[in-house]
Amino acid sequence: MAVITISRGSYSMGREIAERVAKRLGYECISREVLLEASDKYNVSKNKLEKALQESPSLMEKLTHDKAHYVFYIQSMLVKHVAKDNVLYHGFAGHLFLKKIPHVLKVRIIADIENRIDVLAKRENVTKVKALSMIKKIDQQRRKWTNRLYRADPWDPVLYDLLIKIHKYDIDDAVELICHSISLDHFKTTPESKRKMDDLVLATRCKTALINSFPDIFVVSDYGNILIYSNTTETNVRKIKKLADDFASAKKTVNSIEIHNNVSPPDNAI
Amino acid sequence: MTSILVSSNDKTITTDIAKQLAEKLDYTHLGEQFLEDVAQKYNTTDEKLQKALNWLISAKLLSNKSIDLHLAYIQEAVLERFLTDNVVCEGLGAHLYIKDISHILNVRILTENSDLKNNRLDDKSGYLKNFRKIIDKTNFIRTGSSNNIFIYDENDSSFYDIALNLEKIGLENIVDTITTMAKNRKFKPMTYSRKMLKDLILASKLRVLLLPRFIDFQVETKDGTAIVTIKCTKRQKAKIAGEIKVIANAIPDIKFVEVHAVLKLSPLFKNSTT
Repeated sequence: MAVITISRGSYSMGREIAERVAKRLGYECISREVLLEASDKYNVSKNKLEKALQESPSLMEKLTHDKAHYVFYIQSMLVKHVAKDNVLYHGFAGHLFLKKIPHVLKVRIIADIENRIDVLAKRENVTKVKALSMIKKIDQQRRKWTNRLYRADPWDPVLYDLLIKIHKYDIDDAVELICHSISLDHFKTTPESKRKMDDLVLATRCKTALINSFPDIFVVSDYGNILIYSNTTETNVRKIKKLADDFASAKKTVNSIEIHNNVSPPDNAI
Repeated sequence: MTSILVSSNDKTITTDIAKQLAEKLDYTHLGEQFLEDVAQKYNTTDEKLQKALNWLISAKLLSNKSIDLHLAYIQEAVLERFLTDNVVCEGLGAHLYIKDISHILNVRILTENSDLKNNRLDDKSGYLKNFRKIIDKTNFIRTGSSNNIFIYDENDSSFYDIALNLEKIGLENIVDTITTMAKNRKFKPMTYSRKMLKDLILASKLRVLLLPRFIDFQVETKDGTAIVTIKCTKRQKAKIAGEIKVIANAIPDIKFVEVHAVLKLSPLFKNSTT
């Protein structure tokens, strides 16, 4: 039992691979659903959410934290799904949203630039020169997005557990490889990895309760102990504490709440 | 039979995995011990070859003629072995100059740099952050050398056929996975892939012959035609072309030589050696 995220470069047949893997393993296959659910739950238009996933925040958007919020909304929907286990997510940023969860297999599917150009040129009925320019623009946008929000490069292989360059394999071979990898012991859900997932769910719910009032907090949960990282005035810290205490009283799984003001949040804080 | 290139940021891990693969597949393991054979072939020393390889992983940007020449020796010798043997190769920089040969499986092992692990300090000191910067810088310089020898970013995931996280997947499973993949029919040598390899070998042979006389050039070969792009003026071109053609005559498989004079070399094109 495990979770798989498949990150795919544009026009790299990643969707097809994801669907086949999910079918073979009997996993729930999700992609755009998390965006649609986030749109319904948080009453934000689908276009805004899509834009938040595709374009890095502008200076104004950084000040208003809008895009960061939208990204968080999508992350919270994804976390809700994967907490059930046996889920395959293909799409944006799954490997970043779930990066510290041990039983998540993070896969990246990449394709040769020439293959991507061919696929795009046929699909959109454009010349190869135009297709190349479009691909470069998309890649640049994604790079910028990942860099601005997560200070990482989407092409950096260390973000993933398995990278497959698709042109050398059939889709069947790639599916076989992923299914084989997920069967390894490391990716089985253990009590410890389940605990980390539960902590992530708890941190997500806590942040959801606070984010509208305090947009630039970070939250992490460790064994049900919630740590909130903020960068604000003492008055606001007291307000955060009050809201967090209200959240904790409604949730029996919260052991304690700590607020750290003007302290850098850890890597796994959301 | 498939040949395999293994690389990572951790030399020990790479060697370990390569040895296990070679044993399991009954392939030849090509590692740094191969430098002795290269030294003998080109009448040079192990130390000079090792120095050239070390330059690849050093923080120095500028190479010199000796380093370029010895790297060319290594490149030519390694490529020739790929033609004759079933090989698992590591530690010779082959993942940087063997590209787009379909029967050669290019594998990257993802692991934290062992220097980083051994020198881990409390991150609050900021030392770890600075150390990471140094490692990142080293990798960048290593791959962006002068003379455009190797300009591929070896941390670019699209460079490899497959990359596997050592901590997550485990050494034994990595060896099993690569062994299984090596048996995939897509990695069987085909006429066209062997031909591409032969073209690379020819280009590397010519480079070895040209380096003592010239710098700042690139060589590509296809179907017995060598295309040499050299940094010089149009005025110098005729004389230089003549010299290059005389030198190229020493390689019987090169039927024709084209020489292009440029003022600035552009990035490497497919299957060329520089």
